[in-house]
Parts: sequence; structure tokens; C-alpha cells
Amino acid sequence: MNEKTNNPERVPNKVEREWEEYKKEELELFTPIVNALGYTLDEKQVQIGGERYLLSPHKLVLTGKRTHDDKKVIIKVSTKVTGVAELIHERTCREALSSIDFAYNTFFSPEELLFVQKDNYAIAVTSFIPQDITFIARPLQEQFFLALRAFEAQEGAHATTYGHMKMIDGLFGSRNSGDYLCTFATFHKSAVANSPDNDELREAFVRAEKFLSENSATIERYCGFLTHHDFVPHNLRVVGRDIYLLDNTSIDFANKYEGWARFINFMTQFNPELEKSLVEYVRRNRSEEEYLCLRLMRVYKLGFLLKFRTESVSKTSGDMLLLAKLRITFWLHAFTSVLDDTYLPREEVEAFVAKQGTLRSKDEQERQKEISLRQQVSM
Amino acid sequence: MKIVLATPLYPPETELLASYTKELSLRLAREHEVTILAYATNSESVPTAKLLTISKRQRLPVRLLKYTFALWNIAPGQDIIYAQNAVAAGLPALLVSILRNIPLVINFDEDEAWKSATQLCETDKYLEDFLASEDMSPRIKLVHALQGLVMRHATMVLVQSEALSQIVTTHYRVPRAKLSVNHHVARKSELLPFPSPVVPFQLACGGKLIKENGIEGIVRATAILKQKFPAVSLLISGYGSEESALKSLTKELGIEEQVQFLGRVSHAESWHVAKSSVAYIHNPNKGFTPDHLLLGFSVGTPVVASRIPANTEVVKDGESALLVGENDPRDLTNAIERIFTDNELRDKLTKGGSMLLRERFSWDSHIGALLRTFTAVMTK
Repeated sequence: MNEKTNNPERVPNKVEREWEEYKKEELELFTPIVNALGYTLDEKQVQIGGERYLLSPHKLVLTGKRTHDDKKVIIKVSTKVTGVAELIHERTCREALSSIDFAYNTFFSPEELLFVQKDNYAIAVTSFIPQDITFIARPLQEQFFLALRAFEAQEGAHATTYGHMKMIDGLFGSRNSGDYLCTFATFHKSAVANSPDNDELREAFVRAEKFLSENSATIERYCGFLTHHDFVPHNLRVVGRDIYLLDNTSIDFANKYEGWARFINFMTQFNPELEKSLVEYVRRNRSEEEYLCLRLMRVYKLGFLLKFRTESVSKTSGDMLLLAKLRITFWLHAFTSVLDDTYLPREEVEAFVAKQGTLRSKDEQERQKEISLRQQVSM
Repeated sequence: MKIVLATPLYPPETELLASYTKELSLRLAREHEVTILAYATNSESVPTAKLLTISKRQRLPVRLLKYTFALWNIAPGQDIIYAQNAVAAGLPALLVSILRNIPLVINFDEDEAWKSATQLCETDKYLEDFLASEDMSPRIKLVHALQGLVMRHATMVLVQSEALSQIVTTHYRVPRAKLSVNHHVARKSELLPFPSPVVPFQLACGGKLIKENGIEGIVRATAILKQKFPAVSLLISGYGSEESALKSLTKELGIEEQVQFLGRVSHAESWHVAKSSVAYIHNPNKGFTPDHLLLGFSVGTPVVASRIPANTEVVKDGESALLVGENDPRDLTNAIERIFTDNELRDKLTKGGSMLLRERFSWDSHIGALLRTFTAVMTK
């Protein structure tokens, strides 16, 4: 199946073709299995279209219904070793989160309806959590308070004692300052290798790496907290005032500002006003050290994003390639603005969002629309 | 004065006791020599005091032993040991206090047995009922026994209210003469990125949603008020076993639209909700702390509180808050109606609340009382 794009002449590249092939094979395999288990896949699977091939190419996240009562469900399937392991890990995390006695301020998770691990595949079916309004569509003040509540809930779980460490060992990942520095060095290396002519990028990474290593003690100081390192609106749902986490694989015990950083960086593009409100909240209400830690984590997460975006250059062509380059420029400016402790100019954000819209493929536009409308499927 | 602050919690831990210890050390260190001994794997820096830590990532007996040795080494030449709880820090502190002959003051900030039992979902009882029932698992029983032992043998025990001192006397057999009341310090103001304008006829209350907190009475009062003030609304922060019963009650009373259950709220939202309300209601029928009143005083919102000892020991009726009968929705309704309709009264209560906050719940008043206690025990 050829992806429809804004540019109809664009020919899908090798990575896209492999993804299309993979999708086709998996759907052919899983459709009868899922049916036999009492579930029906939706005819249109928007979530696996568009740029999904760049995100998580080892599992499919599908929508469907429970056959006997039409209950909407989310079905995650995989035949790949990494995908199966991820589904098992997600399940383990979800169960563990409700059982660890020092994480008493946690979240809700969608109900698991079915989990099958057989031969070389795994299927996880969870209930679909409907929400009447998306996170981003809520008033700023509501978004601000919801976010703070979620962060305070995460901060409430701090694995500090020998007993705590024993309890989470083997269930959740953990990272300390050394891990952050080592990983960031790989981001640096990869980003520069993938964009060898980008001097601005190279200089920013050198500066960022120095910033992180000079403040490694601050990073270490705030480690050991429960954190969701992919805490963004499409990975959570708000029902009434309850927050549901859709992606439990991203929970680990690490720096308490990693989740904040991911969320705030996301808002740089989607809601700069919320970005500013949260940053200023930390600056005005918490210690200087904590504010510094937030900046350190923002730099770390932006380093990852730049690594991801520079890697995608070789996997894209046509408009997608232009889009990849546009994103590198935008996120590089965001990276340096955090290093400078400033905000990106509003006009730059608006111009980026507008240009991005024109370059996105039709499938991706539809997928984005679906995400913003339903914010259901974890990425 | 040379003071050792022995603490089980220290920032970056997020609990109040951790931030209290850090802030206290910074303030005391302006005029005294302060050494902090904390159980902490990581710790925030504190430039003006000496900070020693014992890693938590060791088995409990090992870290207890290391903590005791560390305290033993710090103690010579110190004037006082101020321990921030009665077990993890209090037990080593008691041993060192006896052997080194240094006065020990215990800050009975919270009942550790009750706190642990609550967190482990072993109980949902109120403190007094929990202690009276003695329905505890062996682990909690041990904490309870050690807590009592340490407090009985300490030179002095600080409690946050007269009401709590009575509980400690009754259930831990600590002589009244050994107890000293020093109120908690109110939390610092939340600085929000947007204003919190007062919403006419909005009421706020918070706390655990359990019978003892009298939320039912506030809901019933709201229903009565609705007849005269159709725009009345009530924001309830918190969660607990009574939540579904309270929701049913709002339905039964026809005030579902007037009452909003907020569940768990962040510090910022709790501040915003209280600040944007016309009155803050604290209506428990049991309780050992006036701390819940502090939010109302801090944000400058008139407070209505039930006439239980923990409230009456600090509030002067009509000056800093309006006091109402426990379990008396009619009395509560009348008090709220007075606040709705009397501008002068609102101003008077707001000013009275601020003054009370400064006089009894500020860092200055807290440290003043603390140093008086230290001086008294040192000259004993």
C-alpha cells in the first residue's frame, strides 16, 4: 500500500515499504486470531499510518471492539521479540505499580481484558478509556492543575530505602546521573554523525554535554523517583478528574524532573503558554537546585529528540525529508533556548507548526487528528 | 547553642518533615551551630549547617546501627539533640542522649505507627480510634511500642497541639509535664502563574473524606444555603471511604450541580481553590491538629471551623474564624450566611486569621518557642 502524501509523486522509501509489509503480514496473522478470541479489529487503523513507522516499528497498536457487546478496546500485538517483551513488560509494570507500598499516589490504568502470550507472539487487549474532552482542549488553568497533580503523584513515590530498591528490582528500570550522562553522550554522537554538516547542532551538543556533566550532582540528587519518561497528553487520559496512564512501559525510577521535562518540551510546540506556566511555577515555588534540575532534564530530553530526528533523515525522502530537517532546526533552537534559560519566540513556534502542517502526509494528518481527538493510543 | 537535628527525612524527600528540617536548620544556623544527621541517599545542600547522611540503601538494622554510631560521634560538645521522629531517628537519639548525657527533644510530628498503618491500608481509622483499638499488625505494634518507649524517656516531647498532647498522654503514657506544645509553621505561599479571583458564594473544604471530617455536614449546609443563595457552590478536595456516600447525598439533596468533588489536588490547586472561595470550612468532629485551618488563614479567606478542642485552642470565635457546633449543619449554615452577607465580618476574620498566623504559626513564633524549650531542658 502506497502512503498518500501532500506530494502525490513521492515514492515511499525502503523503511516505509518495510513497515507497510510488516503491517500487512501482522494484520493477516492477527485478524483471525483476534476474531477467535472474541474481538473484531476496526476496518480503518489510523494509528498505524502516517509517521508511525518512525516511532515504534516492533508492535502494532490497533483499535477494535469486543464482539459480544461492542465494547471499544485497544489491541496491541507483536511477533517481534522486542515487541513481545515490551507488551510483557508493560503488563508487569501495570501490576507492579498497584502493588508497591510506597507508591500510594499513583494513577489509574485501563482495565486489562485479555493477555495472550503464545508461540512467538503476544496480544494485549485493554479497555478503551473514553474522554469527552482532550487534554489540550481544556482551559489552560485546568491543564496546569492536572499536570501538577500528575507530577506530584509521581514525586510521591521515591525509592530510597533498601526495601524499596528490592521491591522495584527487576520490575522497573532505574537511571542515575551516570546513566544520563552516558546515554546523552550516545545522543550527541549519533546526532552529530547523522548531521555532520550542522555546526550549530555540534556546538549545542558540546555545550549541553558540558552543562549536564558539570551539574551531574544535581541530576543524581533528584534520582530514585517514579517518573514516566514519556509523559505527554497522548499517553494519558483524563476522565472526570482521574488520570489514566496508557503507557506503563515508560515508568521507571529515575530523575523526578524527567517526566516534567518531556511534558514541558512537548508543550513548547503544542501549548507554549502552559510550558511557560509550568517552568515559572518551578522557578518561583521550588528551590534553585530543582529549577536547575528541570533545565538539565529538558536538555537531556531534547538531546534525545534531536538524536531521533537526525536519525530519521536517512529514513525519509521528499516532503518527509524536508519535514525532518525543519524539525531538526526547530528543536535545535528549543535546545539552545533551554541552555540559555529563555523561551522560543512565539512567532517561531507558530511558523514551525504551520510549515509542519503543510509537509505532513495526509495519513499523518489523519493520525494526528485521531490522536488529538481521541488521545487514546500510547505511542 | 550547639544543636543536632536528627532526622529520618531530608530533601529531596518531598514530605513536609523533610522541608521543615532543612528550613529550620537554615534559620537556626543564623545564630547557632547546627549539625544535621539524616537518613538520606541523596541530599540537598545546606550551606550554613553541617550535614551528615546515612545511606538508606542498606538493610534497616545496618543503617540504624550506622546512624547510632554517627550520632555517638557527633554528640560530644553538643548542647541538645532534636530528633524529628520517635523511632528511626528517635531511638538512636535516645541511646546517645542517655549515654552522653545530652538532653533529647523529640518532635512528635506524626504518629509513625498510624501513618504506616494508613499507608499500608491496614487501617482507615482516625488516630484516636486507631490507638484505642490497638488493632495493629506485629510490625506496626513494634513501631507503636518503640515510639512510646522513646517518648517516655526523652527529656521533652514537642507536639503540635494541646489536643495531641492529650492523646499522647493517654495512649503513650507520656507524662503531661514532658509535653510541650509548639504549633506547626504554615506552608509557604504558592505563587501561581494566574490570579485566583474570588468566586461569589463559593465554599471550599478539604481533607480525607471520612465521617470524622464532617464533610456530610458541609454538604447538608450547602443544600440549605441553596434555598437562599442559588449561586452557592462547594468544592471538596480529597478522597476517602466516604466519597461515594457523599456523592449519593448530593444527589439526594438535589445539589449535584452545586458540589464538585475534586479528589486529590496539587498544593497549587488546593491553594487556588481556597483563595478563590468566599469561605473555607473545616468541620471535623474529631481531630488533633488545627493545621487544616492554616490554609484558609494563609490565603486570606474567612474560615468557619467546628468547635472541637484542636480548633478552639487556637481560634477565638468571631475574631480569627467563626466557630460552629460539631455535627450541626444549621449552625454551620448560619455562620456561612453571615460571611456571605457581612462585608465587615469578612474583613475582620481575614485580618484576624493573618494575625493568628503570624503570632502562632510563623517561623518566628515556632523558633522562639523551640529555643525556649531547648533552654529549659538544658537548665533542668
